[in-house]
Amino acid sequence: MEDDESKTKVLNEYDHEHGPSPLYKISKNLSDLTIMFIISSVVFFIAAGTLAFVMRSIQSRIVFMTNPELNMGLFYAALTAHGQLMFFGFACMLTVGLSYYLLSKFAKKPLYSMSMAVASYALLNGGSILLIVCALMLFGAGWYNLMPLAFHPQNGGWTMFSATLFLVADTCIGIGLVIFCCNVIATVLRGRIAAGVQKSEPEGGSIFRASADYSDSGRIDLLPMHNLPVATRWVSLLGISSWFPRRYRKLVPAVSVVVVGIFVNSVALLSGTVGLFTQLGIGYSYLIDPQSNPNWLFAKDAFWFFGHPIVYFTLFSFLGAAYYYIPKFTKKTVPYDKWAYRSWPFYFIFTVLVFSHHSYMDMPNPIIVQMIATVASQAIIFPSALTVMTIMMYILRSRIRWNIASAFIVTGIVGWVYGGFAGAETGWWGTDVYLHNTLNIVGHIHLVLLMGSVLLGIGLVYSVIADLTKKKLGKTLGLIHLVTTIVGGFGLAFMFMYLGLFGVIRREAVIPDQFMWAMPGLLFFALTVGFGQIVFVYNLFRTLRRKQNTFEEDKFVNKQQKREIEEQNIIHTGETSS
Amino acid sequence: MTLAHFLFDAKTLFLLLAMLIIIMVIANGQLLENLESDLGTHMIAEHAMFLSIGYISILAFEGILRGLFNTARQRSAASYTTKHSIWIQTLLISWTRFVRSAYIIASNGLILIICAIILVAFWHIPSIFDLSSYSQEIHLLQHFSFVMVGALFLLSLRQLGQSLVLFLIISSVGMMLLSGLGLALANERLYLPYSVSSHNTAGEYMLAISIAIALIGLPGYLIRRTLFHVGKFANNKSELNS
Repeated sequence: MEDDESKTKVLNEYDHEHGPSPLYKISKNLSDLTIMFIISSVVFFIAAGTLAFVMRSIQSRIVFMTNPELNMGLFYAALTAHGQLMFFGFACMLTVGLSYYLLSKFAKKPLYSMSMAVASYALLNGGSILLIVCALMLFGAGWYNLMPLAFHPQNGGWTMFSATLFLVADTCIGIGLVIFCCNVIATVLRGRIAAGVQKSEPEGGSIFRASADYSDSGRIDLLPMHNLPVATRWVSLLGISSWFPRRYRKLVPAVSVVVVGIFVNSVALLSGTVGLFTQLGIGYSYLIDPQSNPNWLFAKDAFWFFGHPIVYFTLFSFLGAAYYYIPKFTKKTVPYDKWAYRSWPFYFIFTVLVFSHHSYMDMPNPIIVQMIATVASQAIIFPSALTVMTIMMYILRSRIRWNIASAFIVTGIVGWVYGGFAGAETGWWGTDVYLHNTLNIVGHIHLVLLMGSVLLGIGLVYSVIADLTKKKLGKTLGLIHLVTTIVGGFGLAFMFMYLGLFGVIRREAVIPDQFMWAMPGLLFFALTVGFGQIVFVYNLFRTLRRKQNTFEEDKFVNKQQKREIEEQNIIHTGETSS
Repeated sequence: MTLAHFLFDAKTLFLLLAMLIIIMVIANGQLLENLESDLGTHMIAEHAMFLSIGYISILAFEGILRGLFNTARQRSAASYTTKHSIWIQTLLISWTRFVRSAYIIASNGLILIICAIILVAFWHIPSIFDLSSYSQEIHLLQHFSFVMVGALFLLSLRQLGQSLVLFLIISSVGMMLLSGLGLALANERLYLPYSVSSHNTAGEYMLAISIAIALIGLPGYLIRRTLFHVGKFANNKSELNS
């Protein structure tokens, strides 16, 4: 009787409009911290978005400062702070916060250390605030802190103090990210972890069942806790076991694919942060002894050793979550699916190796490094395509429950795919030579980040907030947010790409006259995205401040879904509801 | 009873000892001198050879000790005492005391690994490295230190387990990628006895080796260990079923 009750409870999870979340209850502290991460991230999102608006305005020849040199300086300060704030203040903050939540939920265990989680939150916030201070001091050496430009102020000049402050900000952020990675790795590798999903791998050819059923042993709630041997645990966590022959695959307890995504993310970023600290170390050493003659090309390469993994960092945790959430929205029970796991070992290997495609234009780089970058850039298409195909198979012939969360997640996948096409193009050394310094690259990064990982993250926020607070974000405001973000985001990114193909140079405050026609368009799309985010922030804060209502599931089920459920009841019981 | 049976209790130890002898021969021969003429081959040769010598030395000495113990035990069980066996027993007792006290001193694997890392880092400081290149005595001391590092690695691996092996593999890949990149991009001599192009080539070797470790070494090790556990699990299961 009790068993039936729990099964019914599990089954009811599928009918939540915000998407089912595992029943494992995370601690109150972690819940609060997750909300704080989300709030901080959206605040920095708005700040970074404002800087984008400043850039678009200056390029549209709107004057903010009467001194033209300072006006230019403002553009480069906005360019620098926009990139770093979007990455660290917004995207990384959101990734870290949601990763903590997802890890605890899907590994079914508390975090290794809440103090470390709080420290990572404090350091990321501290670093991001310092970045804003640097922007106010007109520091504008590019978001990748191009050295030695950082130490040779241009355009009216920033001070050496602001250059130092920028290094300190990046150091804080780097340490915060290292603490996050260590916390995740320690959580996953220590003690018992929910595993065993491989036992639900179907024997026959039918991989996905059409609707939820009682024997959905792929559900994290039904997984037992295992104490796995170290190597077995690593093989499971990196998704390597999914490539084993069936006989062995069955014997290696598989953890949730969400945990795999977060673990791969942390280990890859941990390797990458060595590059950040190398670049910062070179910067500090130059500050201490300006007579020293550092290898600046090495400093730049070292930054990109970190710079590429940080792009993937904002994606992997959400991609792992998408493997869980999308099938649930499509009302398919997904038992163990080897294809969901098979891409992760390749992500793990290639996410760091692709770094030097950012410095294709730096000819002194050894040929071997450029060759590795070209091969890795093309090789990473394999796991990416595998992910897209798998997710498409989850959506194919499904009765997907369209709501704000699922729409954002699916749109995020679409944006990432478009961005990926552009990335594959510029990943070729030969093509990159033509496109590297154009707005085409800006279009690519906006597709991958703004329309890719950010939308995936926002989709999860809609789902996670409902789970954490038992309060749903407003649907109408959510719809406005979705539409404006899609219109503005895709409009902005595709326009950048189009202009880039015509050779419009990037990182330039002054746009040539023949391309000025595009500036009002870009400004319009930027304002549209910005409006959408303001609506989102209003919706979020209004929801958080609202008194908690009883969670009435019926309220969220629309008429069509109600009809579907009634039809199913007729099939099961043979009676009409009347 | 042959001398081999007297000394060793496993065939694999023969192999290890043979490898040790071969490496020692190479290390003292002309080949090493040739390898040392280039920074890349010098580093690869020294790291690979001397670390392996240190690693294998511990295994070999343990094998010898185990063999001696077994023999002494068999003889005492058979009440077969000679002047020779009494001498061996005394030797074993004093050796055991030495090993025990050594293990008490180095009971923390973390300290051992930190010592090993400090030793490696010390000999790679450019001024120290240059000094060792010009002075034969210091060069020998450097080689001996690397043998010690190999031994320390093995001892610490045993105490800290598989997690450390994985950590070392992953961190060595990251460090080698980055330091390889640094050497590959070097536009001035870091180690004075070698040319800039020699530095660049060494960096490219390091990049290639680190990628090979990441693509082959790491998955290979993980799969091997997992299949070992899986095999054990499957055997236990079949035993239970039977």
